[in-house]
Amino acid sequence: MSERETFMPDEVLAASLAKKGPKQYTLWVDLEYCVGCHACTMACKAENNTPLGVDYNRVTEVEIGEFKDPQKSPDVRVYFIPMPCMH
Amino acid sequence: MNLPPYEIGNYCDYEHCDYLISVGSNITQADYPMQTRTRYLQKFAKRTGPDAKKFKHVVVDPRFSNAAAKATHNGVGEWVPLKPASDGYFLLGMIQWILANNRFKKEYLTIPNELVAKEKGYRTWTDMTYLVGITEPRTFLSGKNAGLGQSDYVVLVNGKPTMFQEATGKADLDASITIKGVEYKTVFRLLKERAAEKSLAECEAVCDIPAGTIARLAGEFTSAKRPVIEMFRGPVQQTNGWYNGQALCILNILVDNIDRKGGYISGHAAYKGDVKAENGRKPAGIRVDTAKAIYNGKKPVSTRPWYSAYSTMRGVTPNFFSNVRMGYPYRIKAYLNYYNDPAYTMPYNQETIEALLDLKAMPLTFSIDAYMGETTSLCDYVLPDTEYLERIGGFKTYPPVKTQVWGVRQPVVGTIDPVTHDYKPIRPDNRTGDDILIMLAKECGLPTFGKDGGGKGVDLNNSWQFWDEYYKHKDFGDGLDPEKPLVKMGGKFQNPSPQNQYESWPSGDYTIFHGGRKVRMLMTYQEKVATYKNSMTGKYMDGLPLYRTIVDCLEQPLDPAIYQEYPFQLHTWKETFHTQSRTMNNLWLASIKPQNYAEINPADAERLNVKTGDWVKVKSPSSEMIESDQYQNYRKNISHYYPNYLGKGWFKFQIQVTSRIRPGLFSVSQSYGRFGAGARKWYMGDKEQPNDQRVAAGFHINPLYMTDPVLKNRVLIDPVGGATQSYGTPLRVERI
Ligand code: SF4
Repeated sequence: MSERETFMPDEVLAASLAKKGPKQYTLWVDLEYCVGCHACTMACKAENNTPLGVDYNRVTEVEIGEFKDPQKSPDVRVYFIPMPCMH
Repeated sequence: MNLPPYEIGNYCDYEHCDYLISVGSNITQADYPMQTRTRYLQKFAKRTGPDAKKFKHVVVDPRFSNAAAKATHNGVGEWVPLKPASDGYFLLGMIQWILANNRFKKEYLTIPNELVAKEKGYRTWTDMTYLVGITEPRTFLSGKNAGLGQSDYVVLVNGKPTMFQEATGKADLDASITIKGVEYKTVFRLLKERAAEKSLAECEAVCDIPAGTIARLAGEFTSAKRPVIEMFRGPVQQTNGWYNGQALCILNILVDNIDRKGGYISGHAAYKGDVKAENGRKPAGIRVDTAKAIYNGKKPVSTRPWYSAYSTMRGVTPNFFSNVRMGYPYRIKAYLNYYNDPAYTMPYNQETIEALLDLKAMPLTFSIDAYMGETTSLCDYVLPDTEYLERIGGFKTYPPVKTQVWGVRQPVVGTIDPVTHDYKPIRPDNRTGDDILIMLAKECGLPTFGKDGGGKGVDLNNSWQFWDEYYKHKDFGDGLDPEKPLVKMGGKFQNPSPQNQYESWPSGDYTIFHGGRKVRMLMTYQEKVATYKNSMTGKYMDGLPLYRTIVDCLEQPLDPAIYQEYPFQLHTWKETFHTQSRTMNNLWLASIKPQNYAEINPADAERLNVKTGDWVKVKSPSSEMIESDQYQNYRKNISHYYPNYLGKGWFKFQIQVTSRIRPGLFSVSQSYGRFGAGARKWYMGDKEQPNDQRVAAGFHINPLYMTDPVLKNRVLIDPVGGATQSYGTPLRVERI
């Protein structure tokens, strides 16, 4: 699955569910919805009452590509990746 | 910006739109309501909307905003990094292509009046067929002047002048006529001629975007089923702001999407209450910032600008401070600052600070503020406010919400006295802003406050009483009774069912626009603006958008030589998690991004031979003025305000290299580089008050704004709309 695709393809999901044995759960964060507002960082601080400087949930911004020449169409991507501690 | 009837606050109906161009609208990151628009865009437009699969979002912005990140996330959308201040060329270029290639909604534009509109199944019509005289002042041809009778507008029906209300079918669109020796042209023809003044190649050169971009985007825009082009302050906060906004609205008119389902919508008019104010006083006279005032002096032209065409409530604040210092048009006696921090937020804020420090200019100053903000710390009297959310009041919402809404705001930290209904704060000396204003009004003996202030038996002694009364009238009825639905629900909300959002017309669906006028005429040509003169040149302004970038108060372009010496352009933007001046002192929020940087493009970094973390020095064509007598008091304290000042107009900045900024820009986000609100040590008497260096972190761009080359003590301002030139100040950047 490429990182630029929006959804997990149906067959990947179906194959994963069809596997025998105990299920391992994962947290699926739909990155297309994340706009990098950092509200989850604040919500986590409020909920867990973490001291200043300690965050269980940070949001990183990843910049891909380079844009230097305005006469060419830019090919830049920025991804916002919320990194919850999963607790 | 208030181009009747469109203005900021008109956005796209995202869910049903399939092609969206956002110009200078920091959607998903700023604007209001940011969360609502983000959700509509990310979820309804891109996922669940009927055209979600083909929805394309084009973000026109010098910075790769979060919206651009989301637009390009799945490879469908696009970022168009145009040069700051070139919006007029981009928008008029689009208009030019659409008109030249007949890609506008022709039947719609030929409708001359309400009757014909209804007959053809449209809810709106435009002024495109109305005749305008080409000699100044360029007003609409009236029925009287055409010798036809009583009518505001005249159209041509198969070449024959007809009063607009008497036309029974379509009117001529691209036409002109000479009556009594005067030539009249339809608005459509005037627009077509205006748009053709430059070539698309010229437009793209000014915008500094690849050749063919405008034609391609205009082609895509007009081929889409439901296209919208929307804005926020980006295109408007410029010296050509008024015309940029007008051009953007015209683009929407050309594709007939105003008030449409999936179109450019005004949403609703909010629920309204009322407090009777019989014998209430109204402001009178000329405003110091000369907004809405017409120059009537002895000389044929004025020495300072007058913003007669200015049409919103806020005022032209930078002009206020420079006028106050000059005593123009008169000297002020007292100043009350509320909900504003101009010493920090004004571009070229040295003028603001110097005015506040100048006893002759501002002899008596008050500030209502929740913190010891930059402005407040320079005032004589401080009236401590609560946080802006901690008060009684209410708020409407904006599109894309299409149903009627009103949220009631209530304090959550303090309490309300059950008998007197006075607000009881947790700190003894605080009052809510409204309470302070009511106390001041009572002290000044203003009618409509205090005993019987809201009519017989209705006392207005505090904000609870005011809002209780407000919520008893018009659309409301409950008052602030805690047992009634208004307070229990926290507001009044219309059921957002589809029947309450859209109505069907033969030509397609419209949004219902509750509480507002549904059937309406849309004006492309701004006759009112065309009848105003620039007070400093005596020349009439234009009723149609102009191809312009940055102009001074005499409407002259900047001297191009300036860019030789100052090749960079100033640019600024807002972080998602900060307001401009009210949040940096929240250390949680400050911890998300402990400091900002001056952001530059990798191409410029190579040229300057710098990398992220390096330091550069920057000056603007007017920053050296700091050393002059004009800023004596400011100069004395500058190390307190800006420790990064190096002297001779140079400021020191730490840079970050990023492809999110187009080449040639020097971009610094707002909210950082504070010198008030606890950023510096401060004392009450001898007692040190709460402060924290982390509030002061980062850099602030405002002292680097360029002044108007004619006026020299104020930032560049739109002669029509009164907006500040927020981007594009030429800068000189050097490595240190
Ligand atoms: S995941 Fe966090 S940063 Fe992303 S949109 Fe949600 S709250 Fe905002």
